Amino acid sequence: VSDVEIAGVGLHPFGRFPDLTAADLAAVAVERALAMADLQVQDVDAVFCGHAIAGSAGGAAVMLEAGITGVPVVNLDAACASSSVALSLAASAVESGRYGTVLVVGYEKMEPGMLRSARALDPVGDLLGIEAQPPSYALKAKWYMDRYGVTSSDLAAIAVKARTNGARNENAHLRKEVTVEDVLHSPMIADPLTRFQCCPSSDGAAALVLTARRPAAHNPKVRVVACEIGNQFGDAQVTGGIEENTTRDLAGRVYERAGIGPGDIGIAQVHDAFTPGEALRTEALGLCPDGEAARWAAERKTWITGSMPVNTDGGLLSRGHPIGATGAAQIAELYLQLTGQAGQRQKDPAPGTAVAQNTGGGENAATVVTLLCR
Amino acid sequence: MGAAEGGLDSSAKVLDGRRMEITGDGAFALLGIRCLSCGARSHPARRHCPSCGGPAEVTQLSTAGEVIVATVAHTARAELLIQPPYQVVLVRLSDGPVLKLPSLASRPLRAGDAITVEPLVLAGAAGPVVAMQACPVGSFRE
Repeated sequence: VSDVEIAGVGLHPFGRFPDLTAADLAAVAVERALAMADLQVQDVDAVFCGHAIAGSAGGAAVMLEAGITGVPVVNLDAACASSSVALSLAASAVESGRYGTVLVVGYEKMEPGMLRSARALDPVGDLLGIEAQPPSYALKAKWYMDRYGVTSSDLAAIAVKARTNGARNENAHLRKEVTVEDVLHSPMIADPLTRFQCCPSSDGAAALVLTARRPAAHNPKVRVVACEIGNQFGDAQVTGGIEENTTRDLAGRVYERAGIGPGDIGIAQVHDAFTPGEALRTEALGLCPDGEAARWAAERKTWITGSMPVNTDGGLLSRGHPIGATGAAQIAELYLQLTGQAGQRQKDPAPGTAVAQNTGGGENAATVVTLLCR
Repeated sequence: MGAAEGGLDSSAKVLDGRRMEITGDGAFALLGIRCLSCGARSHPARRHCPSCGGPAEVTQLSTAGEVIVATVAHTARAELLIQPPYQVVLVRLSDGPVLKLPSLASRPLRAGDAITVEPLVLAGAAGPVVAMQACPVGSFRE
């Protein structure tokens, strides 16, 4: 997907907005993305909408609120990876020449409380709570800690970093910094994961403008080099899906396609719905040795000032997780970092290559790995 | 109502017929498939093998297994059939398949512990339902 450019990005802040509709949120994100791209609603040829909870097939109605009419609106649901799947399909549509300018929009209005399992047709997993996200990630955490000798404090450092970065992000849901002690002493959710190691349920929206044309001169060019989708069924895996084999496979494919290796990546966004998610997926992307990502967080190597910054906007743990919007928000942050527009959380110097990893439904809805280059 | 002595009521509703069944004599059977192409066994029952996509036949799986990793859930949605705290364990059956199970065992399960998959009768909205759980070997029905 080498000829597809990101011309602009926009977010509605993530958080709880009981008086706003999904359409209200998405309209703001679209307006901001189009303004950054110096484009008008009339320039949009098609919209790819990712959403999973905020109403079935609602994309067209939501886009009406943004003033977009008369163009195809495609609805996509891949749980937490919905807008990354939307990006992959939108990029292919632009690359093929079918559309010149396309919007990728992710939005969500979250229900209160814990998410239901995303595993379709699985009453055992759903009604017994065993496929709920907290215990699923807790199993990952226990396995990871036992296998690599990682401590609770190391894992907690990922949450500390997330909150530190989120405090510098005006669009983040949780903006209060915390310490390792705060994280470890917050209420236990699923052993060993405490509340501060779990992402919040957030409302929010994010939008990306993709174009085959060069963006306006004031926006440096960012290309979508590769955006690959994969699925995994844990019960077909040796370790039941605890290891991030799908991410590892996809990362290999996007690096090969770009002719680069993980050592060329300057910044990353990974799906940190819970702290072990960041650790395992950073490693699966090849950005640090297996078993080291949590220790790297404790040593500040994955902080903004470190050698391999991860989730500079606070990630899901702090920016928040409106599940349909998360993938597009990851790309928005990388775009800002690559173009030097990330403000007080800008990596200096601005990196030239970035990777994003987004997972939906415990990998069985979709995992998407995206490579961006300036 | 059709229950064999010491067994389950054969008319009881199972929570997921792809995963388990109650046989005519009231015994609990853990279901899975054997792939007719690659020979792999997996759980639950499906039309095709999740590893290679080949055709599969339904088979009864061994209920013996070993814990890969375990956790304790301290929060859950209110409508679940079991409420916290309860254990969630990932187990590898002696037949090979890996599956996630709850466990109401009073002692904590740990990696390497031997378990058996046993029926778990729960109160559903429309009456009793049969689910399944991991039980440490030697302490079942403790």
